[in-house]
Amino acid sequence: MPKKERLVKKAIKGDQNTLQLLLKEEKDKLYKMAFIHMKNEHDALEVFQQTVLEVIESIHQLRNPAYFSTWVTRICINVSLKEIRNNKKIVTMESYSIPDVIEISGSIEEKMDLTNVLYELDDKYKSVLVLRFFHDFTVKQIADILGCPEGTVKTNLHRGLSLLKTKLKGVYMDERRNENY
Amino acid sequence: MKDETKIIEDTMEAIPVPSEKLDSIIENSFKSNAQFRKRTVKKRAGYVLAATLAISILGGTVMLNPAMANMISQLPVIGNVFDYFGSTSKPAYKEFGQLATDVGRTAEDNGVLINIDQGVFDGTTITMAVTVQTTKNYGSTLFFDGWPSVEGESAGNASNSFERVKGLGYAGIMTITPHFEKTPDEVDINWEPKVLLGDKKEVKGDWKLNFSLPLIEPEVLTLNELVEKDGVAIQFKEVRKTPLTFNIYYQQLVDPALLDDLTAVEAELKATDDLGNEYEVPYNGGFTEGGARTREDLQWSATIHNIDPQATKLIFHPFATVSTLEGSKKIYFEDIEVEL
Repeated sequence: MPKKERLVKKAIKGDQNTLQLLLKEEKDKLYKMAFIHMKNEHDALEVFQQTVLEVIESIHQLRNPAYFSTWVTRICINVSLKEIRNNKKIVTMESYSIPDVIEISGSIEEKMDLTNVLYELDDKYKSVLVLRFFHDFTVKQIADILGCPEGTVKTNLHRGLSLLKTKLKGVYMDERRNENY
Repeated sequence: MKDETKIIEDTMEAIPVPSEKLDSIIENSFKSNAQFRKRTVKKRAGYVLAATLAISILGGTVMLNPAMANMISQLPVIGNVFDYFGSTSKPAYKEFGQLATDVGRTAEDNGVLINIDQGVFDGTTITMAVTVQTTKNYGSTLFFDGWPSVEGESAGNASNSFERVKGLGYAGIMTITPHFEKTPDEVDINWEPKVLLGDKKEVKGDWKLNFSLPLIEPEVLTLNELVEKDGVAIQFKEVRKTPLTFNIYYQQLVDPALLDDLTAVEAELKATDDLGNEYEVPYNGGFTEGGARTREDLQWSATIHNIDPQATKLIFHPFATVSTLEGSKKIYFEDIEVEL
């Protein structure tokens, strides 16, 4: 059994210390996933806390240790979306507390666009884009995480990318483009 | 203009992570979750019987009187649950049906009727035979959100193993091993699962089951033997025998110098007897106490079933697995012998 899976197996069997360490390994990615959905630190921390509690409560139900990362990510996304639904928040651009510095070249306008554009996307596009291009999950893994068919993931990836490009450059992208993800 | 994927990476990288707050949230979540317990969930393939049984579905939660509950527990599909498992997939339980205490507690909600058929309390572990009557297929096995607890005792370890039984729903065996300060003469058990989960679907419900089980007095044999190698020691403490179970208690002791952040150690046992029979020694879970030298100084209990009555000696073959992110290695220790 691969190295990390054995630790996850131990956590599944109830070892709190090991689970704590595994969660600390995942914390950056989980928090960022929460933040990209909630758009402010306070709500992202709440989502993170709820995610941790759900992981502690449910770790015994994880059946394949190899899926620990995808499993905790799914919990984090579900908690985020549930929180958004429950709060029914309408978050205006002014209320974002998104980071104001992204180290890229370009004009001030371009930097602002780039800072906001991912946050502006619909959650269904945001989730798949972040899972694919930040977490490096495969299409199949993303389908498992989001509980949807692989075709839906591919479609949302394609549309999400197209929307990003459209928002950034105002250029219409042909949605029938056949990309190999 | 950078491409879209680079923008996603840059945006995510730019999110500042309040690392100390996150660590604090993780650590406090474990502290606040006092009911967190070690749980081993065993999965089994579904088992199919040809007989069928019509199940009446009632609304709301009902508690049936013992006579009616007993009638339900003796279902024509399955009969006695321990006997059913003892003669099929779990021979370890073949004697339990005769010596277990009849419980016959039943609760129903949302078309799912949970029945505790029988139970055994051997001073260490509580073993329960359970049926779940439903017409729906929740998957090949079942889990519950909410474990049984023992009144007045801190949470310990728990496991369950359910199989699908056509015409009935599911049958299973649950075990719980609390941390007893002092072994009581009787345990009062409460079980109020909130969700029944399967591979395929789940259902929420309001099931409430409570019952008591008397102690089957164990014979206690003190061991006090230590084996040690490569920075890991195993201290054998005692065994407790009943007509149904043989429990062994041991603690692993890990040299702190061996531990870094992600090192995990797990001591396990295999056993043979003087007649050459081999036995699995599955542990019931482990725990650390405040006085432990390291976080890995776990105390374990493990149970052997169906020891050959002709055997006069058990030989334990201890081994430990030390895991790090770089890989894992096994340590094999000297055998220890226990007279039966």
